[in-house]
Amino acid sequence: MATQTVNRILRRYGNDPTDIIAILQDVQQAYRYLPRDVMETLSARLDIPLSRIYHLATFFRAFSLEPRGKHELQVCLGTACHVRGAPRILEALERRLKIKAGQTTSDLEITLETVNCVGACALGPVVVVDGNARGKLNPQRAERLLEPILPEAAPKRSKAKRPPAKAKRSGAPGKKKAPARKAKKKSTVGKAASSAAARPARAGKKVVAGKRAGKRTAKKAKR
Amino acid sequence: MEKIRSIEQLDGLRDRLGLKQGAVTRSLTFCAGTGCRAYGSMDVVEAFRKELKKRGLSRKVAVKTTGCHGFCERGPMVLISPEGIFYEQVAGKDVPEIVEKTILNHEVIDRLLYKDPKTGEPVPKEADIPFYRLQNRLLLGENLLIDPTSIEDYIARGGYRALAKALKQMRPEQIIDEVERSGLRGRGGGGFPTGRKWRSCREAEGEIKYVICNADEGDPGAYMDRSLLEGNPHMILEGMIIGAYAIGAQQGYIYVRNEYPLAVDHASQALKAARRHGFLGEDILGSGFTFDVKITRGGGAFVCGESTALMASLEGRPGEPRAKYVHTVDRGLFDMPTNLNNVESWANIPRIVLDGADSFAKLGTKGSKGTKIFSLVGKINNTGLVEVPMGMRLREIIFDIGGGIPDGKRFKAVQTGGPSGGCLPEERLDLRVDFDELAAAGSMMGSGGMIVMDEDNCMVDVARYFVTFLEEESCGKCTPCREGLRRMKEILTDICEGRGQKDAVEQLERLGRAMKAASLCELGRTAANPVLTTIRYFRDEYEAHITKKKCPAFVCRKLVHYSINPKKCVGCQACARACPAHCISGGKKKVHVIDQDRCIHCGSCFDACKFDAVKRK
Repeated sequence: MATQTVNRILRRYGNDPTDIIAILQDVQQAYRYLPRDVMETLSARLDIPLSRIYHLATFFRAFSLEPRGKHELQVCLGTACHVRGAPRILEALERRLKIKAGQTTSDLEITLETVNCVGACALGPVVVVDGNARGKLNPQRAERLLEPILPEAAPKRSKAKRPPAKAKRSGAPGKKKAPARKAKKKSTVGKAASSAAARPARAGKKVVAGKRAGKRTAKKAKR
Repeated sequence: MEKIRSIEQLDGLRDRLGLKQGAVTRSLTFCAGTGCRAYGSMDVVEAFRKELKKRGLSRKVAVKTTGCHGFCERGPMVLISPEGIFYEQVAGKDVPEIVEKTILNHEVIDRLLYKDPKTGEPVPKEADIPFYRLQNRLLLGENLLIDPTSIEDYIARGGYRALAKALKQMRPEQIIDEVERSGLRGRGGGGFPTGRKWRSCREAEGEIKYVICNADEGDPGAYMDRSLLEGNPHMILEGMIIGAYAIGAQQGYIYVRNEYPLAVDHASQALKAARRHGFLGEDILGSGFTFDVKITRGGGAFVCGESTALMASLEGRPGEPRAKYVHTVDRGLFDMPTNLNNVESWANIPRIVLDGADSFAKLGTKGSKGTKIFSLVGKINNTGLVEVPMGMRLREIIFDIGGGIPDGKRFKAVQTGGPSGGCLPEERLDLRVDFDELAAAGSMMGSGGMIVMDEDNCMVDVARYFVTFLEEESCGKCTPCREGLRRMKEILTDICEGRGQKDAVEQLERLGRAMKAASLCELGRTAANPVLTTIRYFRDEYEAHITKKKCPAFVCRKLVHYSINPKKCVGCQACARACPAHCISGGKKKVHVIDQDRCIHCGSCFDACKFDAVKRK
């Protein structure tokens, strides 16, 4: 399964090593991060030293060595947004999600990031939620953006209205892993990049496996 | 689609397309740039399509989605032709009314018109709105007329005529002469004469030559390149093909930010359409010239806007710049002669070739010719993209076109040139904007970002913002930039948090001088500009932070203290509910008190209070 995806991406670029950045971008999109084993495969297939792929993976902002969340929140910190109060929006979201910019919630639901400018300056301050720009925010309105993607962020009164199936999905598979991942992240965040290299990859494997398991059980349940 | 081989064939196609488009008497044009899409313009477009279909008008009224119109503040907007009526902030619910009144009965709906802020009078026609009237929209104006996904639209507007002229009637040297004579200078920031660059690249020795379009628009707050590439990709492509022919290049690259998905999409579609029509590929227009273009997405690194870093990343290496002892026109991409120009520079080429250098050089100042697009953002009424002749006064751009500062606040500074530029104060508003004047004032043109700041912005905080940005984006290859920025950030953070040393300003100036002298690339050499210009023009603010431990604009959190005025507090509890630290006590209808030890200085209570009871000092 994993190799198929990588093969498809490599074919798209005709196995050209100069296209490595584009290839990594596609891998990032497919897996939501760069798994260690994929980087090893690319290194072997394109004849690029793993160290150089790692250099690229840590140089560019677009790449992540840790799995990113299902939903991506990008807080624009461009100058126009900054002078209109973007830092306070970031703070509000960090407080609400209990993570810092660049981190992912322990249930792998939401990744909070900052971007330099999305070019929607008239709408500033802007937050991009899963690719859709939302503008003219203040801290309160920014927190409200979380409601559709984070069940527990919804105001208490609307809790009852939420369909039970959805609540189950977001709770069950993620929660079990949560404590372990959280501990892991704490140990890697902020440390020298080299020490972070191996661990996220391993964690990644687990996540992929967990995902598959989740799918299987879902299928069973359907039957 | 048959490939076009000759000028006559192109003229024939244009005439046919013109007739077809002329047959449509009425049309609705929507801005579908990234900004307006975020406002929900595509939903409005859909609502119009449905409504027109319901009334059986689909064939009579054309619906067109175009790139960015520039007036981003007022989106979603619709332009109704041929009357030229402009409706702003249109919502789905307005659609039936517009169709009923304006389309069927030719009535103007006052409610949806732009109102002149000075007189309050509604302005029905787009051309009469001051924001548009005072500009000279040679490049951006085309955005309103063209569906960027349709090559037919571009050809009908006279597109690719310049390419035909260049390939069929001009020798490469003649094209370079023309570009050189036009006085066009690189629009990406450096302002290097484009014609001279082309000539050096043409004269350089190399079997293969490359041209690159730099669309890695990293300056935060600048988005003119995105709007051009998104709104009129064929114009840029045509410029590149002409440039490649003049230089003798066989392969081109468009290096575009990954954060601009719509631009990537439109540029990719443009490449395909151009190949189908024979404007790209082998034997272009039957001239024997062969050239093709590839799109590469950036990885989100600001430094990749620098030419050598960009080329490194095109080769699949990390985007680190190299020293330019050998110019990229001699040895650039894959060690071959490479000519890199910015999106806006390329966009100017077709016009120069078609209308001649003189018509281009008519506009502008002595050293800077033509028009320049600025993105006017921040604390400004008419946020958007403005295209004006070089040499217009800052005051005219900000107050006449931009409509001044919102909420009656006072203008404080305008930041030009992105993180490499500087902040200019009110005394400098009469400066005529061109490459040389801005540089003389300590700032720079950059790619054309203009961020307006009002009395609520703290200039030390702005300097810290840019230094933080650059410190993160510095590639770390050379020491002055890597370490200098880190130290600057520490010093500025100390100042913002009330720990500023007495000689902090002098330290910053000393660091700035060293970075300017010793850094490897322009990122490092210009990195100190925001700090040095804010010191130069706003030294009193630095002094207030350092000696009085006060932030005059109430931005630097650690220096702002909030308290509640018991005389004004009505006990509404709004502040207590808003406080994220839960440090405001006091029951309903009782005077509230902030626990200073637990206060995080976030200002939520100040924003929440409707009775002006929360004081800050």
